[in-house]
Amino acid sequence: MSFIAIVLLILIIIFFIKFGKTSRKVTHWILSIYMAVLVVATVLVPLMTDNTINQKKVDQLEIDRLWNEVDKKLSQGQIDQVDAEYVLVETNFDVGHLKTLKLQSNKVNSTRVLIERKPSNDEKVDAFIFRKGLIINDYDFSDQLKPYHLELVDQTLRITSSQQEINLAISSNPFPIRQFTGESIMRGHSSAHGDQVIYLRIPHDLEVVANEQIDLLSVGG
Amino acid sequence: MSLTNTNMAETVKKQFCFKLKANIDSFSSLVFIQLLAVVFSSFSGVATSGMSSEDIQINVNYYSADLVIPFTFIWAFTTAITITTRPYRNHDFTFISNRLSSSLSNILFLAAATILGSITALLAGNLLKLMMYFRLESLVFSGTTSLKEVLIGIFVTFLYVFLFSAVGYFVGTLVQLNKLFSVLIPVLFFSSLFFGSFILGFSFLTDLFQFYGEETVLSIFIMKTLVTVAVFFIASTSIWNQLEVRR
Repeated sequence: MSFIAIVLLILIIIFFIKFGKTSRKVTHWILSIYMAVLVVATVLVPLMTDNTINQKKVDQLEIDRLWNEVDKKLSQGQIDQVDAEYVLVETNFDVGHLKTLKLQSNKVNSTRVLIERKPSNDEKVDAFIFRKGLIINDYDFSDQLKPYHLELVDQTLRITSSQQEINLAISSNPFPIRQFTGESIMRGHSSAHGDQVIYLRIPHDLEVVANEQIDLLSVGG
Repeated sequence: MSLTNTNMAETVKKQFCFKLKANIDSFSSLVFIQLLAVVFSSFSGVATSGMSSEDIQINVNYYSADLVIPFTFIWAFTTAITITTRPYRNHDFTFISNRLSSSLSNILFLAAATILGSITALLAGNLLKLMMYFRLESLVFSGTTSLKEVLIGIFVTFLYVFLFSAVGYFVGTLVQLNKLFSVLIPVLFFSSLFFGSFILGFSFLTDLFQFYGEETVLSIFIMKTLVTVAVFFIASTSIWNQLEVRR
């Protein structure tokens, strides 16, 4: 798009240089086309932009408080009491008669994994991924967050986190409006990087072994 | 007395309409300068921020008409200077007029040009958003702007642009009074810009920017700009009248 814009601009500059003072008729055309383009852009913009950013505004302290509550519930094995909005992934793996499940993470920093033993041996591992939230400059972009990838290969549950690049374009009111609304172009300063917690419900007798990148914690009864 | 007033109003009206047609070329430069600002803004926005961790890298580009508006200031400033030059002043001889009617029609022309410039500058922000949508092939997140905010935006932009028009008109008038000002004013401006804080102990331009740009009470801002605009136009009109006496 920029390339096209630059080409158009160069053409306009060449036009101005070559023809010098434009005739009145040409000026009318330039002005009319420009104004028509602006009007069309104004009509199309609401259809092509996400106007929900004001609904995304969050209070960092409130987010932290809510997440602490979620974390506390998870640590106590009260997964059913956690709001569904914190669940990024819900899946299960058939482990058959497996005696030992190895957990492996490719992350450098530790990955938090909570283990809850089921009362029975149903040969299934239920996996949940919870997220804290992706807060950028006081706005909640958690819907942009990609969850860790979980894969069961032989006896190993692999937790893979590939670096996610998120490019956001946020449009703000121009400064003559911001000057009187107190709004800042950067909007806010707090941020949270979308921490994720894995919660596994495993068969009662399944042994779990984790590599050193995993911060393993047994929860519940 | 009544007849004189009518004649003056008629003359100003005729001159204003004539100037709108005669100075139409200034609007093509408005289109050019605003498109230039939109293209510059589209490269990486008016502000960027970034953060990264092991799992995630976030790049945020902020887009707004912030660059288009100052470009419009430059256009208004140069347009106001242009209409004080001799070729443009010669248009006035088409009518039976005096310096006052000429000045009033010039001010009206600048006001009309400013209205157009202000509205297009704000709308150019939407053109920028549209360009971002096609360039990034993703949603552009945007806040909703209330009708009240839109009206404030248009009016405040108008006042800013009109302020630059008034300053431009005054500068153009001074230059017509004495060509020495065409050297003196840029020298004073750039000296103040680069060395103001060293020589005077304070930056005049920074103080000036704070005086208008950091005013958060709308009514006071309106008062400040309107008074400044009035002072510059009255001063310019007085100088033109003086020029008439000299000739």
